[in-house]
Amino acid sequence: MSAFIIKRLLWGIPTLLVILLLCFLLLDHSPGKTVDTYMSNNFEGVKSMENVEEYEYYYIQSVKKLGLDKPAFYFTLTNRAMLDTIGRITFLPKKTQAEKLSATSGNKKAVGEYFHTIDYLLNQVRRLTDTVFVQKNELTRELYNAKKDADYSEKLEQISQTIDDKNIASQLKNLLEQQKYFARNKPSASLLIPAIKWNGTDNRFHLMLTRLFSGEKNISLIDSRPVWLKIRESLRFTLAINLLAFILSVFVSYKLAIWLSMNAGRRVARSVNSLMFVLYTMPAFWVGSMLLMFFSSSTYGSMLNWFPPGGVGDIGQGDNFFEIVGIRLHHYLLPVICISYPVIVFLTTHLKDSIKDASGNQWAVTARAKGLSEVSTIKRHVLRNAIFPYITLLGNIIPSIFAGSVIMEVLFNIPGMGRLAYQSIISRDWPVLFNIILISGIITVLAQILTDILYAWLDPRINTGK
Amino acid sequence: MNKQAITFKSMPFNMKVAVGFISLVLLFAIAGRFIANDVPIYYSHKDWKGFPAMNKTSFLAFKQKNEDVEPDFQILPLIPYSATSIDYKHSLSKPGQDVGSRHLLGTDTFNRDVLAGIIYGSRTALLIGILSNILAVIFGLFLGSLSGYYSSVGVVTGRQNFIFLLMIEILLGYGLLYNPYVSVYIYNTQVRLLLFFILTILSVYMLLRPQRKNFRLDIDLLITKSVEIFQSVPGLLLLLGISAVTGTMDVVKLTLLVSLLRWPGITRLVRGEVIKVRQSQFIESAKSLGVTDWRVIAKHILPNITRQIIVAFAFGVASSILLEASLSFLGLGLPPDQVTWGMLLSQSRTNPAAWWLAIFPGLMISLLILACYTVGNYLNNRTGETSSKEEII
Repeated sequence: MSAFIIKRLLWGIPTLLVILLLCFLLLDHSPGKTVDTYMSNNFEGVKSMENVEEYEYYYIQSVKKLGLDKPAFYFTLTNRAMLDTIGRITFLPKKTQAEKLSATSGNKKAVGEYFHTIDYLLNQVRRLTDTVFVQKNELTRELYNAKKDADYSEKLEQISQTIDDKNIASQLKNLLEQQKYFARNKPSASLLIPAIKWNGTDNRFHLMLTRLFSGEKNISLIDSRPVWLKIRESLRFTLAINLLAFILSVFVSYKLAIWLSMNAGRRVARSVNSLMFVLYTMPAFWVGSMLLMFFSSSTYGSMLNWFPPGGVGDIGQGDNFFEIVGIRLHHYLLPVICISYPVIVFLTTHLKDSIKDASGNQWAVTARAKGLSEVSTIKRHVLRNAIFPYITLLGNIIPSIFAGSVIMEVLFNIPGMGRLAYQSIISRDWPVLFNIILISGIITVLAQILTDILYAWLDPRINTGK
Repeated sequence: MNKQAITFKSMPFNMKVAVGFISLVLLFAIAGRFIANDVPIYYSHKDWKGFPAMNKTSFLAFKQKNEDVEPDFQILPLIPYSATSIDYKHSLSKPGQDVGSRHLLGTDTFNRDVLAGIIYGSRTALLIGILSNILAVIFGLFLGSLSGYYSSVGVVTGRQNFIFLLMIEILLGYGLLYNPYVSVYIYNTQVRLLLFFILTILSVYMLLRPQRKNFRLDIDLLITKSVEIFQSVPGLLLLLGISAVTGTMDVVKLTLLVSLLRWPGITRLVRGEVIKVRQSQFIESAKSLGVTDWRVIAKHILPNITRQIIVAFAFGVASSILLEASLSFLGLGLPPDQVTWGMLLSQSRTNPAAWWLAIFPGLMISLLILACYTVGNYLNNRTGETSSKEEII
């Protein structure tokens, strides 16, 4: 048995790794957008158009704060043509430009020189004192633009013809020549030769792993609060609803399946079956919105205003325990029903089918033949054998309950994890979203391992050796 | 196994209704623009003749030039609105409220006709439901039959061939998916992905065969474990995450995403069915006659599990439609200018008085799913033995 548990736990590791990698890939999908979201929420008023130098300064600060200046993984797979210092560029638009130029030209020396020229020019322009302020400003902006976009710039050419300083003018001409060179070039074959670079532990994936457990540094892009704090605040509502839905669906489906299999063939059972079939085809979000529409407002007569229109209710200062439970249950009732009814139908159908399969066995016939009533035959003999597939299903429905609660939390306005995920999608708050996916993935994997172990413990016929 | 042909007459009543409803939705999907449109189906005038419903632009140009011309002859569609045409006078009007305006099922918050929206939305629902499952079935058939056929036996393959295959795979992955050199020439990522999959399947087909020095490759373990891993990732949340990162949705992207969630279930089903059929005598005799493995799978095993796959397909279409509807209900599906049932339904959230926005689109989703389940159940019961019910969820 212990060998089985250890083996099962070991098989959970690759699953968790894949979930981790998937979340990381999605989280890391567009670092540029992440920085944009962070900046628009934390440095309001810093726009790229107004003051380019200030913008780049704050951009680099944000990149460092978010840890996006580090390489992505433990090793980097690039090609021979890639600029060697690409990892040290913190301004991400420049980085993309450098990658693109290296990819299209295959000439890393030229790419390096191009950016070097820009930096040199920027330094020179900063030292200028006798030039007109407007012209200096415009030149600076154009040079910053050249970092992001290496297409041939006509504006730079205009400036280069009017500028007084000879050194700057000649360097500008040089820059324009380089831009022309990049426009002409076709990709070179050195792109095809791979190059592997080892980064060590100083990378973004490692950072994500460590931040997952440290908590404090893993911040939301919107309000800079730790992600873990936000998730912990919302987790209790999600857990409350899901636990209630889980208990309700297990209890009801267990009772209903036994009742159905004892009354099999009767007209009542048949109509309950068809009702369940129809219920199963009705999307839960539709049923939920209809219930909300008709039973939680006075739009269709104040007689029908039974439930609150979403939320979790306000709890006053002096409320005792029973009042709190009453308020919460009043708010939870509709979402819990909407989450659990498809699950109830699914579980009931399966348990009913396995009871039907098991009651055809010889020992069930024997139990009936020796005079046991149908109730005790099913409860004492059949159910013990029919319950095993049901236990496996319990592990499988946990992800679907979680998924169902996302829609229901959004619909019923419950400040749980699902609504947090939804809001973080709307506001592009990637760290929150992917930590939620990660946590629900971990919960799912753990639940599956737990049910497998439970199954093996309950049913000694399962081969736990090997 | 009951091999009798299925005819419409031999079906029970509920199956007839289901088939009828599916055909209605199919009709909406195919000929929607002839049923509901803001331009006539056929228009004839001495200067301009033709079918404006097929091609609007030239007709609208003609109309703009000469505004008050009476046509010699025209056929108007049943519903004088298309899904995107905006009726500025009627915002959120009840069904049958304005008899003159002919909004049979009312209008939505953007002043668009709900019935026209339902007719146009059926195209999206069916397209995503069917296409995503076709993709998932192709993928699942390939992986599931490999996994089932070689379960507990393993593929006997040449050692050199296998190493060669691994090298080819690494090269393909590096060249087509990672290296920028190729991406300059083949710009489209989806084309490169497709090319990668086709070349992978081809190279597996060519190279997984015995040589002089062989070893057993446990392909079944590989596939079942990857299916298991995929099934333990919370599907809807992952879908939401991917759709959030990839930006604006279109039908192709949504289809790919939905089929990403569908393939593990189908692979599992196909594997189980293949294992059942593999033990039959005719497979053994085919093998002893020297028929190759690929031919045994394609000619002897797959024809015997078609019914079960069709059943899984019917259930799969239902759950894909549900998935698409719930994504649009959350506002994370197709962009709002493409009308879908879920999007119409989601408008009822902010307007509790507009019951017609909740009832009619929801009823369409529900009935289509019910019809798919009915067809699936009917076919499932006709196969004699009920196959595993895992595929329902």
